[in-house]
Amino acid sequence: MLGKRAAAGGTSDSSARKGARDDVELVGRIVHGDRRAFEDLYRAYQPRLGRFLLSILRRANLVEEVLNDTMLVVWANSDRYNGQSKVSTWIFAIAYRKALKALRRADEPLEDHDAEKRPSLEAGPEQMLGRSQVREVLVRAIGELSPDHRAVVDLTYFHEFGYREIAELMDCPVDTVKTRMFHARRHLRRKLAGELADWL
Amino acid sequence: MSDNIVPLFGDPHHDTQLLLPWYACGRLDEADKMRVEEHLETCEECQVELRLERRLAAEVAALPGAAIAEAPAAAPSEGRARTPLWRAAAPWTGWAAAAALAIVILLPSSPPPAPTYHTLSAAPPAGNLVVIFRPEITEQTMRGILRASDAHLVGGPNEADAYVLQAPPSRLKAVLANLRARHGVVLAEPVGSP
Repeated sequence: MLGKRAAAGGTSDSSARKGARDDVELVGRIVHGDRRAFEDLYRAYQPRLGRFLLSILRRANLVEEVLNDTMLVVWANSDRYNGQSKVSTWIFAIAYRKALKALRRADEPLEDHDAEKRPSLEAGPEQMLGRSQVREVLVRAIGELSPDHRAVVDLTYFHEFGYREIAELMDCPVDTVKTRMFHARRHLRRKLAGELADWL
Repeated sequence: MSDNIVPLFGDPHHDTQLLLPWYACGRLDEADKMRVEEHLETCEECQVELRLERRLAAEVAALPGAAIAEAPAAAPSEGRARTPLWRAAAPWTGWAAAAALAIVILLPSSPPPAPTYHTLSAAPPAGNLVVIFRPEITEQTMRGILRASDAHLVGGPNEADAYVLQAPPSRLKAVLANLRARHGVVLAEPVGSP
């Protein structure tokens, strides 16, 4: 699982597999208290976890706290990693649970039942959007999704997790993941209605 | 937004629609991939959907982290309330967690991550060791430990209630040993050394 790092760095599937093996080795060393291994794992995951947590929390001031909480759990519970899933799935699952707890503490609603009714910036079918407006509409539309839907969108589009991995880390059925993604895509595309014809 | 499950009924068209995001980014296993490609060969609607899907994925993935955090506005300085060290019920899980905490706190932020957000605090203040005190000790006890340690406080507490101290470099080992021997000290570690 390398996400958009792969695109940026030209990373291949084989190097992705090597990265996964490296992760397992690092966790194995962390179990024995290897601080350097923990630092390496932290550095490897900090950018990806930061992006993921930001997509769920949408508050930069909470990201640091939740990321550090996540990595503390990785350090303290490294012996609980059983090797049945990828290390990335295990760590992202911890981060996801921590993020939901942080949202509950902050009294952030976990579901946005009013998203469909809320007026927004979306363009009509005949209206073309400029580049910056597309981004603005997308950001607004993503913000209208629930944290769970935002998590699935980010894990799929940015981090390039498979739907089975996402189901595992969110602890839900695979059909729920597919359905969340389906609804999220429909919502985003509805907001981008005027732009879609230009994309074809 | 609801999580109502979209009924599948083994409909290849519907299945393909659901799987397109992961097909577009090459994250389907062989069986799913074959099923999607078989349907795509004959379904113009899904071919159009795939083009839109690829574009949407690219647009979302290209959003910078800072943009994601833009909306909706949040009240400043929310999150966990800061509690003074000696009154906090910190959820210590023992030395390992505290050690991890110190590592997390003190890792320098280089090489810097690309996104505009950053998860590590700003550069730690100048100092050569970090200390985390037991949450139940009094302020008076903490002051006593500091006075007896031959080190002075240069920073903290940070988010994890860790303090950065400066000790004479020539006496660093002795100061660390002194601090570690104190019951009121959970952790004392040199800064910047593995």
